[in-house]
Amino acid sequence: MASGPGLIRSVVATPLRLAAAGVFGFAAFIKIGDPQAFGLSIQTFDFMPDHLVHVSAFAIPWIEMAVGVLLVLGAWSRAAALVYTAMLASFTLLVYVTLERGLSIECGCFGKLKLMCDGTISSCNLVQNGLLMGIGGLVMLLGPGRWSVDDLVRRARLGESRLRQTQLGETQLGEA
Amino acid sequence: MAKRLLSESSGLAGSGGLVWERTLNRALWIAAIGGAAGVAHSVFQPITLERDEQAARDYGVAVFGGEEAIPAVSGNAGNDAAGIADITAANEPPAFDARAGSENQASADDAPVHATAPEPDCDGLWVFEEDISLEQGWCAWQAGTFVFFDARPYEEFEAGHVDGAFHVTGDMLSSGEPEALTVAFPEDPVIVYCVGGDCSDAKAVVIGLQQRGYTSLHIMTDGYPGWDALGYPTAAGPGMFLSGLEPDTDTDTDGGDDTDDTDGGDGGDGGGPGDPEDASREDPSGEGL
Repeated sequence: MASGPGLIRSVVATPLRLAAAGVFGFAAFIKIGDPQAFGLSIQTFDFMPDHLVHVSAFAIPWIEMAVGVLLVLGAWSRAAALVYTAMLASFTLLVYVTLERGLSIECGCFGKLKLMCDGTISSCNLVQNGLLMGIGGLVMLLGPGRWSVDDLVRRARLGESRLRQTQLGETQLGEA
Repeated sequence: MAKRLLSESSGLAGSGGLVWERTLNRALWIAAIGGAAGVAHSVFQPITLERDEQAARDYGVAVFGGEEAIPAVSGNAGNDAAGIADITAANEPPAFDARAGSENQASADDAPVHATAPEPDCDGLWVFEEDISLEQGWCAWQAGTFVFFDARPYEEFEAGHVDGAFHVTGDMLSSGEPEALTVAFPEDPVIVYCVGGDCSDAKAVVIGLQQRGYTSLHIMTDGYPGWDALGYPTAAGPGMFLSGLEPDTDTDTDGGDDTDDTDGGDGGDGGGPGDPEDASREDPSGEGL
């Protein structure tokens, strides 16, 4: 029976990781399916030249997809959560700057997926992104939780380490 | 606590720094792999981002504002519009569509075609900076979710104004609460205009509205002369709400009755499906776009 941090990981970390994976995975799936729409959505923010918009229209969804897949599997979870949080921080900054500029535009942050906010971007998007970043931060802090590739690898390494320690102890005992 | 959790979850007690270094390296790998996949995707499914160039080519406007200014539309341009039929009377205002977003923009297809300027592609003009172009103002007018405030002196407003606009000046805002403000909630999108140019009158109104909590305020910088020159809908008369600043209300043809419509049509002031008043009532969220 897990206890302490192990219990936290079991109860909290896994659903948080899967929630983050779901958000990014689904958003990426939509954006990858319609890069034209996502490109125009980025262009609407008017914060980068068109050639960078073009690159971003493809790179961002695929990075999100990579993050989503890794988070679902629980492989490289902390790194994936770091990318997830960093991307959300960038999006949040962009939303803030856009609000400061007084632009009235649709977010397109998660494709057609509407989480908390609908319509044009507003402070609601800042709150929403803040909550999502909080999830990413917790995944980074707590790790992948149970039922993850990282956890399996960790257990295997711990087992290997204990085996080596046992063998080392037996060797030293034999030499003595 | 964080270090303990980190060590516990990584299985590497006392190696927090190493864990983070490894995490950062992996994060860079994830970004690189995702980026490479994106580049590969772009080869197989190229996209075109020509919306702004298209709009600039067709209408000579900068979709997002900035350096590519709209060709100046001065009051003299009215000479070119001498032969323009008054489309205010000739065309019915577009049916107000309370649906939000692209549906509103789609409804613009049914809107009247004005006489001189090319019909702007509103889909490419929905990025509203503080200052907006005449074409953006036209798109907003068609959408029906924006309230138009005319910041010019009353005589000029009475002589002609954007169809459906309300007369609100900086003086009115500094001396009291103009009745026209009742048509717009603070969260409603508002477009203010004056005579163009420096547009200090419109700026004064914007400041007054900001002090009252209005958040979505835009100045149509080319003002009424530009609007009129392009043949967009106009109306004449005292408007729905008298400001109290008009020079001689006794000479008003309708006796100052706020509710009368001297131009004989509901498209004149305050009425009509495309009227911002209706819009502000039906779409108080101000998110119609």
